[in-house]
Amino acid sequence: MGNKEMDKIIKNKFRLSISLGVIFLTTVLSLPILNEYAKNFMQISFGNFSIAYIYVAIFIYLISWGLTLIYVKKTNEMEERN
Amino acid sequence: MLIIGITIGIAIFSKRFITSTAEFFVAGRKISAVQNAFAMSGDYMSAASFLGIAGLVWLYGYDGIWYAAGFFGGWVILLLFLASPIRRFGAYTVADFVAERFKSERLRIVATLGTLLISVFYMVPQMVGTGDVLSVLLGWDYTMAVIISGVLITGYVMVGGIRATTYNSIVQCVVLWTAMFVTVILALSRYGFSYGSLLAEVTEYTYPGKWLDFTNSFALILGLILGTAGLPHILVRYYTNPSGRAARMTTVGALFILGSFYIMSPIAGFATRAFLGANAGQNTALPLLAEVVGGEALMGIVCAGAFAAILSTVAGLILTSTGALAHDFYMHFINRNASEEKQLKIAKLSAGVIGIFSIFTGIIFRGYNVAFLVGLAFSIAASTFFPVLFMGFWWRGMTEKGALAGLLIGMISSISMIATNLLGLHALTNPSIISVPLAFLSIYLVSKADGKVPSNVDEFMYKVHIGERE
Repeated sequence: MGNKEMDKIIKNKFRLSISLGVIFLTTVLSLPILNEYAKNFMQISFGNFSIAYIYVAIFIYLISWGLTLIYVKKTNEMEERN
Repeated sequence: MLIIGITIGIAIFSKRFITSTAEFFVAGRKISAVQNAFAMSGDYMSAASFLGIAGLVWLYGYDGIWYAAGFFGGWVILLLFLASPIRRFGAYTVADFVAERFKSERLRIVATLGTLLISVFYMVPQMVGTGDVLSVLLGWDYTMAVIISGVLITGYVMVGGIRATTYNSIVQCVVLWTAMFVTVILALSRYGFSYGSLLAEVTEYTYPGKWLDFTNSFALILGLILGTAGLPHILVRYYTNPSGRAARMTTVGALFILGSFYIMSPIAGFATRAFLGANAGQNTALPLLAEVVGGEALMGIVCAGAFAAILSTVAGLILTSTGALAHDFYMHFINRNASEEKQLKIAKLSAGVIGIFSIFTGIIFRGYNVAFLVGLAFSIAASTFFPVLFMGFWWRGMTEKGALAGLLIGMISSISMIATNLLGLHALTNPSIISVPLAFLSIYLVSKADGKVPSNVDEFMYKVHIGERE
């Protein structure tokens, strides 16, 4: 396998990981930011569950699982092609 | 008691399989991805996850949940950037990785030091946890509990090696998850399965800000997430996977097992506040809740589960530290030609020494919250190992000197910031927002300035990212 080809593959893999990673970190790190600067919004409640709570206790997990499955599917596809 | 019996049984059964050092350290690489997912989750669900989160949520409410999010989130980062390349590279330890990637023995020394440091910081809360749990369950004196557990655990490792630890991890992962599930379900049943009603009783605890201000919350989450991806005793377990693809699947499996677990932990914390008010402890909230909703039987199971969790974690840490001392340090610097038998002996001796040390520290640190202590270990890992691993696997331009800079600066900045915080000199409890970027920056700048990229970088990149057809 030529160097250029290899570089391209690695770059694609990295791009996939970085984009999913950025989405993930942004999702998680937004939480304390929202809690600090959007207090009223974050305390809007559904039943007894504030958005702040739903975000940290459930939403983060759903997003993570979703990103995880996307990553595995795409990486396996990339590797099949080689 | 039954769990301890089963645990000892597995250890004795596995002893027959220790025929070589390789098996001692990485179980001959024959464990399946599913088994490994349970084992890794089991390893990871230490005292901090099982007891500490519920305890922190009981104590501080919402802010305690950061730990769940942080502990969990790290696995996502691990999956995206490190899982598959680590397995494909094939080294036993982080020290092996840096030494071979950059052809440098001095990196090996520094990484070994980092591994030992992180393992020690991580072991302390486990021993504290075991002291608290056994004194609640059996009424033993705290110090006695720590000593007895330490002796049992160390003996277990010396006899069983990693395969025994793997099966033990799988068993206790299932036990912990089930114990948490049953406790939470029973607690919710008292509120007609309306979690909302339970939260209504403890509303003032559902607001962020009771414990951490904005900066510290932010720093904590970052430190916990990146730290997971730098933990030597978790990374080592990847080498028991048969392939890069299996390594990924293992991580995904762990994410589901852990995710569901971490959704439940805060519920237990809030429930403890609802049922017991202020009459609980920051490390004993969960067993006390179990007693209220399920009687002594459930409390017994929870405590046994906690003890098993601690056993598994400490065993894993002892193995990692043993690996650092025996495989990385002894083998490479003292006796290169040691026979396999000698290596095994040294490994067991190291395990004993580390075990004794952990007992000692468990006694000294009585009274600290276990999740908090673990968080410190995480921030050191996040600063020392994560930047070097991340850039080592993905950036061609990284040099040996850059790696050295990253390891040293990460280690020194995180430790000094923790020390100065504990001494009251500043308010930042988690150094990660500063030490991690600092480490990344130093790797980049020093590598660029140095320019001496390893000659085999192309082969390396091919091996870890493309590899053979699996």
